[in-house]
Amino acid sequence: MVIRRCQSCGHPSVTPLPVCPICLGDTFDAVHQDGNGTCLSWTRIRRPATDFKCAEPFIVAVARLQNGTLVTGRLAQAEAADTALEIGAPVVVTNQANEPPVIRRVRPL
Amino acid sequence: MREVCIAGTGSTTFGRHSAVTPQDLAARAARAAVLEAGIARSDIGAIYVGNFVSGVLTGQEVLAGLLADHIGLAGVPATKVEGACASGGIAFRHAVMAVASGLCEAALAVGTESMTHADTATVTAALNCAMDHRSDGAAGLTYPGLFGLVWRAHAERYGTSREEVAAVSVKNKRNGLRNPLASMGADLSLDDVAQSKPIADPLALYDCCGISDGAAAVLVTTTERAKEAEGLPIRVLAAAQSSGPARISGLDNLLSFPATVQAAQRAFAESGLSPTDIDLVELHDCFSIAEIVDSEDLGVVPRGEGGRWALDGRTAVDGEMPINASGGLLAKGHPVGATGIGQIYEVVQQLRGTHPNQVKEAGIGLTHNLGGTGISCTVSILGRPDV
Repeated sequence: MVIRRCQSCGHPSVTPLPVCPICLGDTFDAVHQDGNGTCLSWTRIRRPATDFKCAEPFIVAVARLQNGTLVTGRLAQAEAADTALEIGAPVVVTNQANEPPVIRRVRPL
Repeated sequence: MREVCIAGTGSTTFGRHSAVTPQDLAARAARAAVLEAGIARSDIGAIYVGNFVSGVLTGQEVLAGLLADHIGLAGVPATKVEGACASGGIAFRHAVMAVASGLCEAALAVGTESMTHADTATVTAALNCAMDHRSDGAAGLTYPGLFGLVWRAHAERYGTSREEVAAVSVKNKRNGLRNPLASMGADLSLDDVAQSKPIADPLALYDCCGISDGAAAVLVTTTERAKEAEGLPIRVLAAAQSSGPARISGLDNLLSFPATVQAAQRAFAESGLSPTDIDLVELHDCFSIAEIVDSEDLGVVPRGEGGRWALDGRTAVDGEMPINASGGLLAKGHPVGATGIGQIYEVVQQLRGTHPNQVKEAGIGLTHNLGGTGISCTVSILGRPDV
């Protein structure tokens, strides 16, 4: 996944904020990192807002990346039909510009 | 700073007010508060109106100016404040500051909202305006979804059970049956809650507050002027506000909202009180699990035990820490901008000893109003003049 890192203090952010909240720096680098993390929680949205109506129901999960950062994302569509996602299970987060992060389960080999 | 009292209160019912504008609801509540306070309108030097989604849902803005116009107070500085679902609590705090600072002798705080004319998906989208559209909102999260996430995390960490969470809804819905302002009271079993329609797993319909219309108002003034009031004046011991992380990625975990913790700490510091001094609480139970987390964040229930306390009846109207004797948001409904003032209204009636679901020997009450994904919060502490 791609995250932003403040050029002044190195603070990482998944969300593209205008100013670094730690040091008020305003220049950032795009940094590639593996999106490995664990599932912190998840929910199945059955009553979405208007813009998301076509996709119902879908799963929104929160992952904790290895550096401790929390990321909110959609569970990959192909996996949404599965029954449950376990808290603490390994997941991988990917993201693309102007798209919300996508979270995938890491299946045991 | 001068001591401030609540001298007058007013509220419409919370529920459905078809074809009534938010400014008209506000005028009805404000009228009642002004008349009860027995204060000349010329003494009112400031108006604060809490409102969240009138622009999106009704196309009407400038509600504060419209309210001033409607109640014959054109000329008085009138300000609308918005902090998502904490808008009402923020309006109250600003009215208190206006009087406490000496800027004016009396101020009006009003919260109002009209929502029931819109369909659920439209209301969900309007409420999502309080989410960061670049993160949580973009992923398709909704507010029931946020509290679904919180629930699973709480259950994983503390073993909170479905029964314990449902016990909050059962309690608040039953409390609401005794409150004429609450239109969503019901006599439900734990099973009724658990078996209701799924909304955002694990949340079901009866775990969620209802979409509502309504308005509430309080008139605050100096202790001296409050003596002229019709009802017992109630002292404002603290009116604290905080802001918190704007998105889930700003949280350490999903077990606590830092804005609540901070606002509570400020309110206790301001009043010189501690959680054990509180006789009753009206807190932001937008969802059943929210009451559990809020009660722990406020420090009125031990961390991790909110669900257990609800199931054991310790937060019932006759329990050791009565929470949401009014029925809360779950039974009153949640006209988002009005809720914070509605909570103040309920606590004032409790402290006057005139509440239809009266807590025994209520001397000090606390209100908690939370907005967005925990981005804004107010905690107020009110006291009877003799305690």
